[in-house]
Amino acid sequence: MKRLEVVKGEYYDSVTLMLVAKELKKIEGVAEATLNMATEANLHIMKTAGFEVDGVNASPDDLIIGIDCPGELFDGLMETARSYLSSPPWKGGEEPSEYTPRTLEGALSVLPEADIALISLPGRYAAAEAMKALERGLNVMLYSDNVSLEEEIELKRYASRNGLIVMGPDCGTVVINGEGLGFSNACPVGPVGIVSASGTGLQEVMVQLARRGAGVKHGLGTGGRDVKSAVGGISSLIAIEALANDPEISVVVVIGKPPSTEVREKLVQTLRSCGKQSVTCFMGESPRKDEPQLKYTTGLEECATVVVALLDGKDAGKAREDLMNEYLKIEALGRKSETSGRFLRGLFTGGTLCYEAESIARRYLESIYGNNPLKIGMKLPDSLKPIQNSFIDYGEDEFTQGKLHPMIDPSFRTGQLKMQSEDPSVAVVLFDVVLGYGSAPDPSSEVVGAIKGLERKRGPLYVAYVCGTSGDPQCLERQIAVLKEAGVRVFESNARAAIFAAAATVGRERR
Amino acid sequence: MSMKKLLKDGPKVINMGMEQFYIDLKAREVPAVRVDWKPPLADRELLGKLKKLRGGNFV
Amino acid sequence: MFDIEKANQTAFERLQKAEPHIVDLGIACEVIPGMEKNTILHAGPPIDLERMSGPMMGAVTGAVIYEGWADTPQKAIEYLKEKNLAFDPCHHHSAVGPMAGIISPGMPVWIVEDGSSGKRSYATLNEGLGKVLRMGAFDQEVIERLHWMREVLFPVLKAGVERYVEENGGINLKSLISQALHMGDELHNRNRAATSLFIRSLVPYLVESSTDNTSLAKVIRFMAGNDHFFLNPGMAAAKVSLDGVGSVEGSTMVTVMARNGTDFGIQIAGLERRWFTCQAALPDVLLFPGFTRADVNRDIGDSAIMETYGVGGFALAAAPAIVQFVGGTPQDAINYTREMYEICLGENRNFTIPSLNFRGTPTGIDLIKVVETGITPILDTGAAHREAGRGQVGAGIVRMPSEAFVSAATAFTDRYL
Repeated sequence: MKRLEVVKGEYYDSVTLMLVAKELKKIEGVAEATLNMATEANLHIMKTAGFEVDGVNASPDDLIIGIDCPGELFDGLMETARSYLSSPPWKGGEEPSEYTPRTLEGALSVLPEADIALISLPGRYAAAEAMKALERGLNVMLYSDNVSLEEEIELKRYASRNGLIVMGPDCGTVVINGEGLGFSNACPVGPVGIVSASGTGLQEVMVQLARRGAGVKHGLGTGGRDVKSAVGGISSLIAIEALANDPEISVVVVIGKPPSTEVREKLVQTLRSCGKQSVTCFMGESPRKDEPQLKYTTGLEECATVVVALLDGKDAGKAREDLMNEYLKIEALGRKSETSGRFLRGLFTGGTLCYEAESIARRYLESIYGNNPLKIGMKLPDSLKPIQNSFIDYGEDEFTQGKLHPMIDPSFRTGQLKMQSEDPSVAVVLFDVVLGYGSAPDPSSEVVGAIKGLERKRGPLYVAYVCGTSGDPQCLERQIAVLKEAGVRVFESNARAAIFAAAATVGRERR
Repeated sequence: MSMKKLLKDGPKVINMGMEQFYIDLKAREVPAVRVDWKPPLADRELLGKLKKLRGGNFV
Repeated sequence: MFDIEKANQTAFERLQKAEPHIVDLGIACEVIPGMEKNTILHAGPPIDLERMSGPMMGAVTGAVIYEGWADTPQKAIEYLKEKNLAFDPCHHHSAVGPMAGIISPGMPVWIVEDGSSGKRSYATLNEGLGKVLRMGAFDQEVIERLHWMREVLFPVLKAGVERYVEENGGINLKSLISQALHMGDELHNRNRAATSLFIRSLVPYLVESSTDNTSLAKVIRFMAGNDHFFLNPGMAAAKVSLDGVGSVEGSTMVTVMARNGTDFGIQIAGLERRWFTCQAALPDVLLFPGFTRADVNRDIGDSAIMETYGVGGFALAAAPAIVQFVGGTPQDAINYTREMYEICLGENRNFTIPSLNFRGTPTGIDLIKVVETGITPILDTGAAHREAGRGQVGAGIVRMPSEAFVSAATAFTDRYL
């Protein structure tokens, strides 16, 4: 029986909620346990999962505890849940910890030489804290999303006037002097500087560079909206200038979705005159002609390939050509593969990986729906009910309000993946596994656990890309092996996996 | 601190929010401190008025 | 035009300058300003009889019997319903009382004076532990003890204090408090060292002024057997010091925190003597054997004045022993104090904590910091049974509720913007 209870006015961070749910699920009789802050999005998800949320009086600052269990156990389990919240069982037996400051001031008294605040608070509080940080002379990495455009502009203008940078909002990855903040992979340090509007985009380029033996000194995030005309590229331009002035950097790279026209002009002009080799990667654009100092790419692996060519003093055009030939081979493989069903489902935890994969798929498939689709008019009415060819980004705002990002807690994407694998109309399931600091400890196993024991007679074709390096905590080789053992086709870049998956789906829609 | 200093000597991080980010930094011996953050008691409107009363100075 | 920062500095300095001394003892209706023959003072913000919780009702009942207005509990309750007794917060009369905090006209009280402002404050004599009026007990044993305190304890102490004052001026409470902090006390839930120092100071004068050895022996035995004897004069010291701050235009410093078992109330230096109230916290504390969470009464007592003064829960880092008693570790004790620095205006110049390198205690709660950081003050307190007279059920760290601070902040912006 599914019942829920509201706990008013108590603030809990999402990790605590997730871990308490995990502990509750270990108890006998508990079929399901879910703890969420009562945001509209979360209420919708709980409703879809069968909890009676209509008429529940709760605000986003309240906590909802939902448990599926025999009726008579409910009250006792609720009591247990509350005690877990106040005394986390996973912390048992630890040494008493040093004082943790409760405020920014307190933190500065502990670490006065701090130079950056990494803020991952709920969106509605994040901007105020970011401003406090800027006022105290700290740069800001704003991981939080659900920050308003007005707040973003105010923060960035302040930063610009004061010699600081705001990286974000919605910035998940930053690298400074080879050290990653937020989500990042173990990569070498080298003469490359990257400005990225996207977290997983930066991760993918760094991973592809690492695989080719090239390192990155700084990877500066700007957040996805920076290159829109309203923001005007404030952080992007500050970042490009800083990288251009760094004597240890010889190639400057800019990654993102296509910027607005005026911002694009500003960026390109700055790159042209920065005195270094530069490469842009505006994904999904049509290819442009390279210039002597500025190379244009439209895919993440392509970008890395061109950067490496420049570092090695080789011809970018040739490097590109070689890559395209490899892609053609993979496409051919895809077209030949056998499976049952008609449609492709791309189920992603990394936003840019989803975006790139969808752009590639659009070259092969007619119509693609999604929760953040490339084409207008293709937005799914309900992201929990994909239709036909669909690409879902589970890191989108609707899934991350008061809920952990799927790279940290992949369980939600895993559940959706299982559900869609059961759908006989689904021919190919394409997904990403993102490794590195900040990400879940064993994401491949979670997926494999879900796809074993499918009730469907003949399952779909599973295609995956594992974004990681051999130095990552999750052990790249093992993550790949786990997937392969379960019959998943694993590829060496996001683009390759997408090409194969799309090619395998071509022509099936009409069956 | 400025951006120049960050790129030259950094990162030295104050983490506000997800503890895992802090744990990862400490594991790699990056100088970091975390804030055990609590939401303000007042809504945005009241916070704005209080900030105005302080003359925009921090308390 | 005013400057919050300057106003707070003024308030903070006034608090620091206070020099509370015990100067005398007296009978409540004879010395407490505004106290009539039918006044009963209570802890916390204003409250009507109907809304009083068990412990407070019990204490009021006991007071009626003690005063001789009724001779059984049943008759006392009838008396309360019929007569129009005047109930008022101790705080409105420069007084403070722990737990139920009941002061009735015939009770003996300490008289504490601030050498700096000249103001005075009052508090009853602490009855001890167990079945006591302040926990809501009102049986024969309690009443008899109260009578003994008036007939024997009071005159002996008064004579001794008079002798002391003749020779030394008043008994310096600030000095005793700062010494006690270096001996493991925090002055709210742990007063053993302060009580010991107090007795040591006073005993020679009690002996010299004594006319009856038997009574003297009983008095000394009584004080020595009560680890919390110093709490009441300590609270009066805090009260007179905070009263000395007075009204400071534009200041956000908290000058009163108090609970009556039903409501929690605060006052702010820049908002005159207005109360801002909300429901009192339900203490989530370590329970003594035999009691459950259902037995606990809401937070009660004027003893929150100690934290408002910069000791008590704010000085937990000085009292690691008490934290163990309430289920924590010495590091927890330090962490609580360090958290309180984040909501205070400054560090106390007189009260220092050895384990923090003699750093001054967090002093002067700033309303704005509380509201902005989400950190409300913590207290280190005892919890009473919700039924009158059942006594104490536990002790521990209790966090003050937030709504009173929010309404005070709203009132502050309404007044000053």
